[in-house]
Amino acid sequence: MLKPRILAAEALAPYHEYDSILEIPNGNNPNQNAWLTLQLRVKLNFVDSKNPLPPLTVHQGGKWYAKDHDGYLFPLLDWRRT
Amino acid sequence: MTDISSRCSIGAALDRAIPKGIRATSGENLELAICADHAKELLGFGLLVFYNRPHCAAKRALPLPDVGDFRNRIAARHITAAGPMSTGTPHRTINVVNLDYAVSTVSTASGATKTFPQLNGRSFRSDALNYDDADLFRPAWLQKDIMF
Repeated sequence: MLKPRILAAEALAPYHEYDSILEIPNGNNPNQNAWLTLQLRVKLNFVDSKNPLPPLTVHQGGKWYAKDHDGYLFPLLDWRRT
Repeated sequence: MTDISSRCSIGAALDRAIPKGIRATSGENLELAICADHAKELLGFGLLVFYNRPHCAAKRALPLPDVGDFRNRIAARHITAAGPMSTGTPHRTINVVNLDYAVSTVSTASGATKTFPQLNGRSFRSDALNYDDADLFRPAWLQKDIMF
């Protein structure tokens, strides 16, 4: 049976990071396809000295750094809030 | 969105602004919706091809600038920070750091160093959860000169 809405929590990897919503047209227009919407729901967390997130952020010698995947420390700037 | 990439090229240390349309607070739910007409693009490259390389998959899934209203079903990519899809818990949280592009040498805690002619989208090794601002404004996969 067709399930028009599948939530991320209901799906198995690698399809578990988005909601899928399928909408089927009423059929009045034979050229109209169905609509599939994938809702990724991504949250961006803007990390800086005012919003630190160890171990990604490192405070060393009075300066803030971002540690990358290899462990290198890159000087960090604050985001400008708009 | 502010054209950050052109300003980065001069190597000046920038206090970059959070992209217009994205709220400054870190607790907002951002969503990317792709309508069926463009789903092939996402499924073909963003989720299937790159899923064996999780760090790339995450980058391909990065929200891109808002190009239209979700309801008109024309635009390929959408961001809504407070729109009809803003409720609910996020499926993925990506941390984004703002790097100082004026530096050319970085080091580890153990003393190993690495020198760059100029920082670019591949200098900072991102992973699936932690991005640098280049991933947000000028992803490495869009920079032809530093393609994989």
